Amino acid sequence: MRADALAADEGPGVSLLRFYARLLRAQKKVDDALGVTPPTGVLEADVGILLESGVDLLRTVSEAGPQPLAAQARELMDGSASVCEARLLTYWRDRSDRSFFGKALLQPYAERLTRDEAGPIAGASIAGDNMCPRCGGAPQLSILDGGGAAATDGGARCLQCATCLARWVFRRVVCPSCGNEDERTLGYYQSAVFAHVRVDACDRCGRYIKSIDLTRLGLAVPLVDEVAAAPLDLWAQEHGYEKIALNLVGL
Amino acid sequence: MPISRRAFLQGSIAGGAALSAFGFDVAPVQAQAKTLKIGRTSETRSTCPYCSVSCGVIIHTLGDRAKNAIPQVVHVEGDPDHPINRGTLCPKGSSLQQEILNDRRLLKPQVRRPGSDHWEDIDWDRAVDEIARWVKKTRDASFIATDSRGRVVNRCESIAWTGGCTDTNELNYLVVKTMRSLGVVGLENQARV
Amino acid sequence: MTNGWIDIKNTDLMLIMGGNPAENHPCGFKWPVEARLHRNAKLIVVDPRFTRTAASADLFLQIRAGTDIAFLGGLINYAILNDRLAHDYLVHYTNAAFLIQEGFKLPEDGLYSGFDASKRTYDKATWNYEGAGASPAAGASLPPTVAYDITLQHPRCVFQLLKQQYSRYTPEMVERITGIPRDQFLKAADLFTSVRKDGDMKRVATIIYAVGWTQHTFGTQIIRTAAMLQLLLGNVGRAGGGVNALRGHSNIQGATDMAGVFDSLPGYLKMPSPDDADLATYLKRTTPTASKPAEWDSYNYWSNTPKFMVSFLKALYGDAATKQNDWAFHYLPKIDRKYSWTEIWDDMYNGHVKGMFAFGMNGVQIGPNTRKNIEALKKADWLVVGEIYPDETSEFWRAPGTTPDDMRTINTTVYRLPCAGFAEKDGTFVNSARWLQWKNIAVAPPGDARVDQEVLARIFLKVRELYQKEGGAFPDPIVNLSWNYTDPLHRSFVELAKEINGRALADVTDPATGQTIKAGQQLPGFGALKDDGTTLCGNWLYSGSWTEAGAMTQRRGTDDPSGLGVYPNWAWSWPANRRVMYNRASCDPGGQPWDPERRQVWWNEAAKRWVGNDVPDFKPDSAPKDHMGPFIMNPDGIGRLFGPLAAFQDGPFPEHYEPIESPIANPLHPSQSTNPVVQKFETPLDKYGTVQDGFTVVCTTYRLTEHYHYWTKNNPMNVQLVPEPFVEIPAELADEMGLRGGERVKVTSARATYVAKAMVTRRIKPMQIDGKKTYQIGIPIHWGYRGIAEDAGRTALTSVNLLSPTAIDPNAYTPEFKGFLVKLEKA
Repeated sequence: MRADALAADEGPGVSLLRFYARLLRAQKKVDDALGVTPPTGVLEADVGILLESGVDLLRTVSEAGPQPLAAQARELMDGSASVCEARLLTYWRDRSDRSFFGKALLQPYAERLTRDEAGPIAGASIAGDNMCPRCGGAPQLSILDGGGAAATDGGARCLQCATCLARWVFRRVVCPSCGNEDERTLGYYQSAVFAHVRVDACDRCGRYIKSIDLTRLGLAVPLVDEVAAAPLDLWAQEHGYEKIALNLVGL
Repeated sequence: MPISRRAFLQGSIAGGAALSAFGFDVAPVQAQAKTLKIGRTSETRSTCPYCSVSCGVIIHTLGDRAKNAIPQVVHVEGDPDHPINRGTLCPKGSSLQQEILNDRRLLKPQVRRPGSDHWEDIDWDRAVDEIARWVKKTRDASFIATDSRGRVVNRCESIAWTGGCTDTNELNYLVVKTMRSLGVVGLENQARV
Repeated sequence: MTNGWIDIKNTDLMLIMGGNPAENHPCGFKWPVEARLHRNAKLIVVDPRFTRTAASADLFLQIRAGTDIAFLGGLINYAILNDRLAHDYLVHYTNAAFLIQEGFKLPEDGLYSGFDASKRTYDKATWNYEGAGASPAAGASLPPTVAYDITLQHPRCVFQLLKQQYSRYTPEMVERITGIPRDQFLKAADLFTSVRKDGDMKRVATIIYAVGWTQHTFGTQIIRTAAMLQLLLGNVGRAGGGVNALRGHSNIQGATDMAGVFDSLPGYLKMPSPDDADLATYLKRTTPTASKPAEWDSYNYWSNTPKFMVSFLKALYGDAATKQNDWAFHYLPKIDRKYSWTEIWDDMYNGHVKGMFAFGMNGVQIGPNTRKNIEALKKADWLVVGEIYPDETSEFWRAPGTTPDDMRTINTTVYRLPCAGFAEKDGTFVNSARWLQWKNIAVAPPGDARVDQEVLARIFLKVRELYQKEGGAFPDPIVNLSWNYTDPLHRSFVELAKEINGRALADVTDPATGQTIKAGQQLPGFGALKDDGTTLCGNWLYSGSWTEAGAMTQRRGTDDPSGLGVYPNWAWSWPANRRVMYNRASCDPGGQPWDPERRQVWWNEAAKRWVGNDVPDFKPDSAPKDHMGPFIMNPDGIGRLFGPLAAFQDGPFPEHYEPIESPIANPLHPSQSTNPVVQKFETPLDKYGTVQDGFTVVCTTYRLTEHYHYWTKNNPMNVQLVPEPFVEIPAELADEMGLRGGERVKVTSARATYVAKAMVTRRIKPMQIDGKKTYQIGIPIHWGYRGIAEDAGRTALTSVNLLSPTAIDPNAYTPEFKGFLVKLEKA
C-alpha cells in the first residue's frame, strides 16, 4: 500500500515503485501459502511449496520486470524444477544480492522461519552483530526508531536483514560493514527531497547503507521507502560508495 | 562480509541507458539524482553539559569538512544507545541546539579599564600579555616563601581561581597544575557551593 | 553516589530528601520509576514543597527547610527501638561494637566534650576509640588496636552511645522541630525501616539526595545521619541501596575528584601544611595506619598514599622532581587556614585577594550575599573572566544601582575572554554515578573564541616566559612544571587524559599480574603505582581510565549480562571500573550474597577469590574468615557510625542544630541553638537576621526543570518556557498580605532585597514549628542582571543570592543557601 501511495506521486522512481508493489504482492502469496503449510526449516524439503506458490511471482516478473529479469523468469517457468531448486539452494548458501529470484522467493520463507522460531535458524553463521542474528544475512537497510526492537526512546537504530527481513538492534554512529566508530570518517548524506532517508556512509571501508528515519516520518515503510529513495543510491554510487546489500530493484 | 562487486550500474552513461543490476532503467532516477542538493552531516557523540545525569547526546553537524564548509549544528538528540538516558532528553537537553548556536555568544576578547563605563575590544595577544603581567606583579608583590614562624610555605594568597563544573577533567587537571605551580591557595569551584 | 543511576531500578524502597530528581534530573528519574513499576518499590519523599518528585511518592511529608537531621535522627531512634537493624552487618561491618574512651560526652546541652568557647572549636581528643590491651590511645591519633564488644552491650560501645544520642529524637521532638505531625513521621519510619522487619536481609532501601542537604551549616552532618541510617539497615554496598548524591553539574563530580578545591590535591590527597617540613613528614601525617580489633583485618587502602603522592609530584614536575629534592615537595603551597569559596570573597573584600580568574563560574550570582561579592570585586586590581555569555560577574562594575560616578571609582581591570561551549571541547565528564565518559568535538568555537585549555596555556606560558626572562618570586615551580605536549598551546586532552591515568617512567612490575610494564607504557591501574619515582600519575583515582588498551572512557558496550544495570563495558567508572562501591558488604560475613537474586560479588572458595557481576571493591584474595572490613578506604575498615577524632569538626555523631537564621530556639537545647563551630563573617556587609528583627518567614532557594543555573537565561527556548522570575508563596500567607498571584513582591533578608512576581501556591503549607505557625517560601535562582529577559527589561534585575547569608558548614564549607529568614512586602 505504501508503495502504491508513493507511486501515485508519479515521481522519477515511479516505475521502480510500481514494479516493487507488484513484487510485494506476489511475495505475499508465497507467505500465505507457507501459512497454510508451515515450512519445516530444511530448504530441500520445503522447496516444493516455494516453487508452487512462487509461480505468481515469476509471472509478475515476466510481465512487469525489466528485460533481463523477464527473460530469466520465463526460463524458470518453462524450465525444470530441479534448476529452480538448485538456484534457491545456492542463494540460501551464499546470499548473493545479485541473485534476484533466490532473494525474492526466499525472503518470505526466511521471514516466516525467523519470525516463528525463538532462535537462529539452522545453518545460520553468526559472524558478529553486523550480520543478522537469525540467519546470518547482510543488512539491507537501517531503521531509526528501533522499530520496536530496541527498548529506548528517540532514534534507536536497528538493521533489517536482506535475507529474512528480521530486525536486530544496532548502535548509532557505527559502520555496519566494518565496525568503524571514528566519527570523523562516518557521516550521512541527505537531501531535503527525502528528508527521512539517510545515506550512512563510511570513509574507512567505502560502504554505505540507507537509513529510514521513522522519527521524521512515522508513516514510512522502510523496505518501500528505501526503494523510493533510489536517487540517493545513484548519488552514492557516483561518489564512490558501495552499498552493503543491493535491494530488489538492483540498487 | 558482503562480497565485493563491480559497479552495479551496467551500461555506460554516455552511450547507453542507465540500468540497475537487474536491468531496471534508472535514467529518470539518475536525472533526479543530479538535481539533488546533498549535504553531509556528521554525528558526534557528546555529553549534555547541564545536570549530573550526563545524558548522552548526538550532535548533528552539517557541512562537509573536506570542502572546507563551516559546519553548522542542525540537530541535537538524546543518544538512544546510552544506558542511562536511553534516548531521552529533558527540556534543557532538548534546547541544546540553541545553546550551541546562540547570538549572545561572546566572540572576541574585551577589557574594561579602571574607572571606565564600557567594554573595549582587545586582541588576544595583548590580553594575554597584560594578564600575564598582572599575575606576575600580584604574585611577586605578595608571595610568601616562609611564614611568620619561619616555615617554608611558598604560597600566593592574593590570586584566586574560581572554576565551574562543566569543565572537563582534563581542563581541571591543567588548572590544578598551573595554579598550584603559581602557589595559588584560593582555588575553588562549583563543587563547594 | 555509592551506587549509580541505573542501579536505582534494583531497589525496594526509596527515600528522596533534599532533592527533587523528577524536576532536576529528569532523565535519571526514570530509574526510580522503573523500580516502582517492576519491583513495586515504594517511594517516600520529604521536602519543604510538594514537588513533582513528591507527586510520584507513596508517602510525602512536608518538612521545614534545614531540619533534616531531626527527621533522620528520629528514623535512627525508631530503627533501634523497633529492632529494625541488620545485625550481622552492624556488628561486623561498622564500628558499632568499638568502645569509645572514657571522658567522651554526648551533646545533650548542645556541646560535645572538649569545646573551647574562646576559639569556637573542639579539642577532639576524647572523640576516640579506646585502645585495647597495652596500647592506650595517644590523644591525637587512632589506637592501632581497638577495644570492642561484639554483644553491643558495653555502655561505651558505639552502638549504646548511638542509641543514647538519638533517644532524644522522639516522634514528639521530631514534630516540634520539623513540623511533621508525629503520626505521619511514624508512618514514614515504619515504611522505610520495613526492609529489616523480622530480620529480613533480602530487601534493600536507598537514600537519594541533592543540594537540599548540602546547602546548610550542618549539611555534612545531614548526609552523615543518612549514611549512619543506611549502615544500621545494612544497605550500603547493596544493589539498589547506598547513599546516593545526585550531583548538580555534568562534571561536578570530576571537579571534586580532580581537586579544583583549596583543601585537596587530585584524588583527595591532602594539601600540605606548613608543619610538613618535608615529604616524609607530610606522608606520615596523611597516611593513616590501621585501627581495628586485633582479630580483624583492614585493607586501609589510603596506606598507599606515598605511591599516590610521589606519582602525582612526578606528573607535575617530571624530571625536576627527584629523590634528592624530595620529589619537588616544596614546590607545592602549604596551608594552615581555610581558603574556601566564602573565604576567597571575604579576603577580596578585605583587600587581601588582588586578582581573580573566573572560568565558567559566575561568582556574583552564586553568592552567598551577592552584594558582598560585588563590593569585593570593586576592591580587586584585576579580574579575568572566561565565559561564553555576558554575565553578572564580568559586569559587576555596572551592576544595577551603580551610577557613573560610582564606576569612575571602580579601578578593577576586567578581561572578558570568549571561551568554548561544551560541543566545542572534548575530554571527560564524570556523572553522579562516577562514570567517566569521553565526549567528542562537534564544532569549532565561534568567532574569535578559543578552547579553554588554549586560553589557560597561553596565559601560563606567558607568565613562565616572564619569570624565565626577568626572575621574580620563587620561579622554580612555574619554570619546572611539566609541559611536554605535542603542541604546547593546544594541549590535546588525549595527552592530558593519558597523563592523568599515569604511565611508567622505568620498567616496573605490575603487582597484580607479575608482568613487566615497560617504561613509557600506560599503567593498568592504581595498583601499579610506586613511591620511588618510577611512575607518574595525575590522579590515582582515575588510573585505569586510559590504559595500553586505549581509552576506557570511550567504550560503548551496551551489554548488561547480569541485568543489574552494571554495564561493565560502557565507559569507565572509578575506582577501577567498580560500579557499586563497598560491594563486599553485599555479602554476609561468610561471603555469600544477602540476596541471591541480586548477586553482585561473592567469594569463590575454589578460586580463592572474590568474583561476580561487578568488579569487587575489595582485596580480591582476602578470604571471608580473615574478617577484612568492606570499607577499605577507612583505616578501621568499617563503616563509621561514630566519626572519630578530626573526621568531623562539629561532632562524631550528627546533632540537630538550627540554621543560623532560625524562627525558633532549638528545642533540644535552646541555649546552644546553632552549630557552635559554624563560621560567620565579620565585614559590615555580613549581617544576620532574627525573628526579633522582623524576619519571620523561612526561605529556601531552588531550581527549575526548564532552566539551568545562571546559564539558560541566555537560551531563547528555555526563556520561552519560563520567561520570568517568581517567588512561590503559600496561599495563606498571600491572603494575609492581601497579595494576589502575579503581583510584585519584595523579599528582604538582613542583607538585601529581591523583587519578582508572586506565584501563589497551595503546595507549601503553613507549618507548626515548636507550636508556632511558620511560613516557608521558595525562590528559583535562575535570573540576574544579564540575560534575554533581563536585557529586555522584563525583570527587576535582582539576584536571589542577594538574600543568602555568609555562614558556612564547618566540614565542607558550603554556604547556607537554604533555610534562612526573610520578610515579605508588596512591591
